[in-house]
Order: sequence, then structure tokens, then C-alpha cells
Amino acid sequence: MTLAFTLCSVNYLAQAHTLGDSLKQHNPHIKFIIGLVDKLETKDIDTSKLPEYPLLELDKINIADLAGMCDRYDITELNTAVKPFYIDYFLKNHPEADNIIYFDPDIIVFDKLTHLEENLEKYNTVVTPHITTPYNDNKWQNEEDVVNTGIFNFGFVAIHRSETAQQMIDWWCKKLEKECLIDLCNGLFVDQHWADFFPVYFDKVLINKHLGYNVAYWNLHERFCSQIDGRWFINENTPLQFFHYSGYLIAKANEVSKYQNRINFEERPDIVPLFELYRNALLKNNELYWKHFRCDYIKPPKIKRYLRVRKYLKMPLEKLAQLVES
Amino acid sequence: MLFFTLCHINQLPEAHVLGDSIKSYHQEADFYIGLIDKKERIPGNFRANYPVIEISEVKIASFDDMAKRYTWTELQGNVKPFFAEFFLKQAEKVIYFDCTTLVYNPLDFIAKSLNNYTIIIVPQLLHAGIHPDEKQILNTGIFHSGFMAWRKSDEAKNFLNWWGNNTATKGYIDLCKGMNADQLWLEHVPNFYTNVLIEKHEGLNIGAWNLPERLIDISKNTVNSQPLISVNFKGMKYSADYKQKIKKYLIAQTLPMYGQPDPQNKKIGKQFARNIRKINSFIDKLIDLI
Repeated sequence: MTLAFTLCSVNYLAQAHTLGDSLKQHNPHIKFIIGLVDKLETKDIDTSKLPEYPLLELDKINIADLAGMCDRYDITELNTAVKPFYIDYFLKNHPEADNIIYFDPDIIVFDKLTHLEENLEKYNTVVTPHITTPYNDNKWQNEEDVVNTGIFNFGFVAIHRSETAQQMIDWWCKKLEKECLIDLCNGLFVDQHWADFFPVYFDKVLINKHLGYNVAYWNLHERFCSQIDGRWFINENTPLQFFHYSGYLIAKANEVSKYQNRINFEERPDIVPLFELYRNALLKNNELYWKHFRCDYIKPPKIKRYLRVRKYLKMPLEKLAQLVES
Repeated sequence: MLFFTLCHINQLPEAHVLGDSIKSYHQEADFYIGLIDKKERIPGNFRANYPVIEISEVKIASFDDMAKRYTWTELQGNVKPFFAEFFLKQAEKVIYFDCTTLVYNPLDFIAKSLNNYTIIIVPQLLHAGIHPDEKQILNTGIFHSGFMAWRKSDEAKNFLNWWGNNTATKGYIDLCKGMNADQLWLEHVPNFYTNVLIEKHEGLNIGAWNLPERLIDISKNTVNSQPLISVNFKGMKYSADYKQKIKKYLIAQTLPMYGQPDPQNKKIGKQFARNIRKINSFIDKLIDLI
């Protein structure tokens, strides 16, 4: 049996809902769960708008040091840090699940995932590279940015229940408990950069170069989208498996993604219908209603008092530090 | 099979010691020294035992810019793709080692793998959770560019072209921006090319970065129970034995003519400053309690 899940806060429930529907349409046999990095009981929610998929709140999956993680991380870091902890929870509490798939909430599935499920019989882990060919331009993001943040995109990962996968998840959890930070100068970029180690540390990791997986702004330079007889294809010969609308905002519907400047709708009319259908699906699933809810795990901004006292107390040592540094 | 290394004039003794160690297992193989300098600048009393190819023979289109742009260390890594391409014109199989390497066993298994693969790269680490600071390895590269091997092929050529394009312009050591001379570009290699072998031999390219996870047994010449293949002394204190070997090839100090001087090592000062600032952040925590 295959279990798929996503992670989001209440403000992203329209996206998670849309993902769940697309998965169900093509893969009714896959069980879908929404991991909620948020709390429901604190909010006045119109329950008729909730998606029909099970919601699993973060404080229900027995993370040993959840309080510490909440303290250390900002909301982005926390959202990504809990990924392997959810996988670990599913491995332990859903013995019927042989395969576990993670999708970012801003993904939609376009096909029956036969190729993936077949590969999960041969491999312990399936990851997708951001790019499988060079960019050959100077736009943002470029090849060094990909290196800096991780060569695989962790909007998707799939694992097959096995001893090695469990070891991998254990190691990943250990790293993400304390070092799921965005700190590029020290080699850290949330959960994603750590996963560069997967193919060198662990056996049977498939670096999946199928062009229909995880199609997104970072790889559209090598992937042209088209619809043939109602089905979406990449480069006219590879069936689109799932599309990742990373950094797309309904409020800025004429921008492909806020994280880049390579791909735009004027030069890429092929992707326009893909974004239109996404926008419509989000609106249907009450994006405008959900987006206003504030996540319970967002920390209030830190208020620093006695600023002047701090400054003078710290000055002598700071001067000394600057001296030995130069 | 052709072996090569790259060095500045000052490192010619190390390169010779590497050559000697390769020759003791592969008498028939070619060993070349790629020199990032002019041969005529090699001090007169130094007799090179191995053929030296100077940088001008490799004809790198953007070399003048590279020499202005990069430090000595950066330049040494960044010319690697161009030398590799040069040597692949004369041999079917080419193996690169950093000049600070010593070889302890034959490399036939690499030659054999090259029958099935066009590019061989070696990870810095092989075992999860043992190195005390794994993020430092993430920062500098999953793979180590101190060892590589190629088979003459379109794929190897394409790879070297792409790699050289990047090392020519984006070969700085600037970890905040995802650059580490020639090395960090290797992250993309398994994703971009098909016939890539990630060589996980425990005894290959032993160095400061992987010592914590490799148990070396001198009496049996093994690493984690596999034969010891090579040790790379880059960034490590040279062992007495290694120093002894280098002494055989004395050379008068000669500064590189291409590239900018390497910045002085500020590591200790920075570490000290970080500790001082830790005291200051403690002051912050105390005031927060008021």
C-alpha cells in the first residue's frame, strides 16, 4: 500500500486540498494525509470548507523535542524540519504502508504514478534533481545557487519501507532536529541540502531523471509542456507526472515564481494553461478563505529592551573581537 | 593508462613523490605533471624526472583572465578540466590525483570501471553520522576533486567543456555563494551525465576530511578492511615518512607567476572572535531575563 502526505499550515489548506484531489483523480488507491504544522482548535474554522482528507497535527506525532525545535526555527525552517519526523511516524504507525511519498502542497499530480511505484519496488529512495542539463545563461537562479541549496528538490521524496530507509530517516531526523537552518555560508539550507548526502551514504537511491517529475521553474529550460488528446506531456514524449508551482502566488498571477527571473509567461505560452487550471482549482478550494489564517507556530517578533545598555555593555568585547578578526 | 597531477613550481617535489608511488605499481603507465607556470622558471638545479606540460601548451582561451581573477589555490583547481581534456587527446583512460597524494596499491580496479563508465568521482564521506561536522562537507562538496578518472568519450568531453566553462568564470572559493573552485561543481555531475560512477572504495583518497570515518590498519595496509589505495595530504600536516620522501627532491622556493597570492589563514583569529561574541550573546540573554 502506498501512503502520500503533504505538510502545510491552515493558510495553505486550499493547496493541500488541490493536491489531494489531483492525486485521488489519477491514483484512487493511494491514501492521502495532510500533515498540519498548525493547530485547528485555536481557530474559528468553517468546518464545511475543510478537505475530506485526514489532518494530522504536528503536536500529535510524538516529536521528542518539538518545543526546542519550535524555539530554534522560524516558520519555514520548522515546516521543512518536520518532514522526516512525519515519515518516521508513518513508518511506525502505518505498518500497512510499504511506500511513503511526500509532496509539497503546491504540487498537482497529472498521472497515474505507476512509474514511481514500480521503481519503489527496486529502490529504497527516489529523489528528483532540480536540473538534468546546464542552464547556459546568467539568470537567477543559476547552477551555483542550486549547489548552495541542494541539487535535489525536496518538494518530493519517496521511500520504500526497508532497513536502509529507516536508517536514512533516523540520520535525517537527527540532523534536522538542530541543523535545519537557512545559513548558506555554513552549508545549511533547511532539509534539502542535507539530502545531497543520500546517494553517497545510502544504497539503492534512485536519482530519478524522468522529465515528467517535479516540473517547475528551475527545470522548465529543459522541459516544454504540451497537451495531446487531453493529456499533458513534456517535450511531447514524456507524460507529465506532477507539476510543482513553487513560488507562484494568486495575488501575483502574472509571475511564474517569486524565486527566479528565468521563466516568464510571455516567452513560455506552453505553461500558461497549466497555471490557469491551478489558479482555478485553488479558488474552487477556497484559497481566498484559508489564506488569512495565522499559523500558531509563527513566533511573535522578539522585542529587545534596554538597547542602549546592551550596546555599551557589549562594546569592549565587540571591539576586541573585531581586532583579532582582522 | 595515463596519470597526471597539477602543481605550482614549489610543489614539484610532491608531484615527483606521487609519480614515484604510481610508477611502483604501474611501471608501464604514463605519468605527466601539469605545471601552472613556465618550464623555464623551474630552478636550474632541479631535474624533472617526469614529463612536464606547462600551462601555455594547454591553450586555455580565457587563461589570462583566470590568472588575474584567481588565487594560486583557486587557479590550481580551475585549470583541471582543461588539462584533463588535453590528456584525453593522448590516452583512452586518464586518472588525476592531487599532487599531495601517495598511492599504496594498484589502480587496476579504476581502469576496469572505466570500461563501463566515462566519469569517476569520489565522495568526501561515505558513512552517515560519523564525521563531527557533516555540514562543513556539505559546504565544501559532497565529492572531492583530489581524485578523478575519465574515459575518452563524447560524454567526458561534454562534461569537461561544461566544467571548464564554470571554472573559468565561477571558480572562486566563496562558500556563501555555492562556489569552491573546481570542486562544488561536481555536485551536478551524477544529475547531468549518464555513465557516472560514484566510487565508494573505502581506501581511495584518504584525507583530513574522511579520517574520522576510516579506520586505517597500518599492519595490513587496509582501511575499514579494504586495501589502502591512496592518501591525500592536502591540508594535513605531512607525516615524517612523507616529508622524508619529499626531501629527495629539494627545490629552491619559487613563487607562482600566475594567480594572486593566497589570502593568509585567518582561521584562528575568527575562531577567537566567535568565542568572544559568544560571551556577548550571553549578556543579551541575561538582559532578556530582566
